[in-house]
Amino acid sequence: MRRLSTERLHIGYGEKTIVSDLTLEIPDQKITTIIGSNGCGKSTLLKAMTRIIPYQSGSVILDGASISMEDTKSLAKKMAILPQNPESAAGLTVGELVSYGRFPYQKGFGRLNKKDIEVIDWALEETGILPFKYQPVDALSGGQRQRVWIAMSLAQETEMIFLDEPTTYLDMAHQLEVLELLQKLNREQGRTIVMVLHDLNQAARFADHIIALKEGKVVKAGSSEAVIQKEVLQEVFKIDAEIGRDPRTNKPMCITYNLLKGEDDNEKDTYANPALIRAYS
Amino acid sequence: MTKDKQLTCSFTYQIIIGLVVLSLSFAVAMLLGAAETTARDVWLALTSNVKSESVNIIRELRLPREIAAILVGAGLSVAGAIMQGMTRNPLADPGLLGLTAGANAALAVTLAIFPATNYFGMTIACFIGAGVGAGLVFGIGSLKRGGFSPFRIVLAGAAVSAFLFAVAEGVSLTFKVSKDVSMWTAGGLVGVSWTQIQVILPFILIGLVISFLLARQLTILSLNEEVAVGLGQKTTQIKAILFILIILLTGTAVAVVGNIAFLGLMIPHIVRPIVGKDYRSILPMSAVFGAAFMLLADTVSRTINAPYETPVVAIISLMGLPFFLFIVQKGGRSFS
Repeated sequence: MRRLSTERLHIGYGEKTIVSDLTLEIPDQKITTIIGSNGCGKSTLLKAMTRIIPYQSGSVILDGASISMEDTKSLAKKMAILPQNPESAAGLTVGELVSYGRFPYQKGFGRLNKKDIEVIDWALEETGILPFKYQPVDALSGGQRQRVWIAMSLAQETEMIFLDEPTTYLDMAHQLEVLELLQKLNREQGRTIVMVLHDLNQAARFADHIIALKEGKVVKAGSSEAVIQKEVLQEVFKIDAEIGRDPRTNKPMCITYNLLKGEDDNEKDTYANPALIRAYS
Repeated sequence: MTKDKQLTCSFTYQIIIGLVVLSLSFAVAMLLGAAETTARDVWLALTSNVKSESVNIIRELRLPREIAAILVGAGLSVAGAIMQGMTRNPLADPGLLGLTAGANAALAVTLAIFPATNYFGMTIACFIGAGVGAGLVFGIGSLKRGGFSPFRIVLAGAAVSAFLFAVAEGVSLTFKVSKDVSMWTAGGLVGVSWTQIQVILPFILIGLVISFLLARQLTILSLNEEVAVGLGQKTTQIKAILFILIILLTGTAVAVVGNIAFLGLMIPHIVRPIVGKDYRSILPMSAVFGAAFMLLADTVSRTINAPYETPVVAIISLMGLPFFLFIVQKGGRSFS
């Protein structure tokens, strides 16, 4: 039984179609990663699944009902979302920002009750940022900031957490720190995690389920082993990749890659002019 | 957890100090003026039915005037703070984003076409004008994709304001009502009567109370719209209500004092370093500080060149402009 799925989902802005006829399932209590090239609709899909943006037709189904029918506040108790680089915390302190994770549970002026305060402290503890509770978020490093936002979604006490490129702009160590934190939340607390990642090897290492998108369609979905394959990467990213095994985790790994011939930075021209493609190949 | 308590306590202390400052400003405003008055006169005016010339001056001229200053100062400052939070734009201000110019134009049109309109009607006209002004600015500001960059919206505000002032000017000249119009718009707080207070008091109070109730919503909206939706906010609905609040507060203020720019810009920026960045603290504190500021500005306007009035608008703009440049120079960094 999958709690979250999409059915013939169609998303577009104005005339432009981003995602069309997309049917997929998000496995419960697993880490799902969405990969794909720039502009393939990964972020759009993530946003539509979390009702940040509307979709035109089809449906996103959570617990048997379309999310467009559900009250946004009760959805906020089921799914938390971290947008791509939420650049500004508007000068709030770590504790203040994380306390806003309790928003869906509060009424009126929003006084925190005992339970709220416990949950907030737990979220701070869990993400290792309790020592910074009274510091302004903007004074922290990028990795710490990302953990603050994760803490905020933890305070939301949702079973599902969606993240849009949570590692972008972080250095390698901080990237790993964030991903390991998410892995811990998944393994220890059974939270369903859905995220967009750019780094294939990180996706392969941390995801139980990978969805590869191209032009708003699923090219391949499944385990790391099933998706991180030469043919799939050729199709999705137009790269010619050498796939090996990570010696430490034994997960598939893209060791090196080249652009496919005729698909380099002249990409646009070659699309426009079939003769050019022939000339290249 | 003890520290959580301390934090809320410290805000309580801050607001108490703010209220003390406000009371002092009120006392100063009541004591000083063109007419020689003593503390005893003020006391008598507030607490007794004694009738003497100086007591009457205080009761019928100065008291309503200073109450109006409090209401207008609080209203405009809170409107400015809401705009800054909602648009995530540190330069937002009712005077800079076309609201006061719109209200001004509406006043001119109303005076030209329905000269007999009463004060209540004028206030309503100001609401409509402020709404139109804001609508134009936000409309133009969001025409291009990528929308509301701080500077684009200030530019749009300047252009729309210039246009609406021209409309006001044109209408007043054509219908020969420019004297009446400038009485309204440049008169500041001169001649505010108890009747006017009765009209504006409910609007401002309702506006302030609803704003304070929505402060939490405003904070998450000021973070990021996607975050707000993710936390379960009905964003469109909340924004619509906030928009109406801004118009209500600004429209009422313009109906009393005319075109005051910069107050709504300055006060929230002065308040933030003191109370932090949560609008639950910013809004009430802006109201208190804005009121105190307006009282002092009005006192200066009455006394600096007594017995003549110096327009309070000029005094505030004189202080506001350098402040504006300061924020531009900082690139709005204090904000993020």
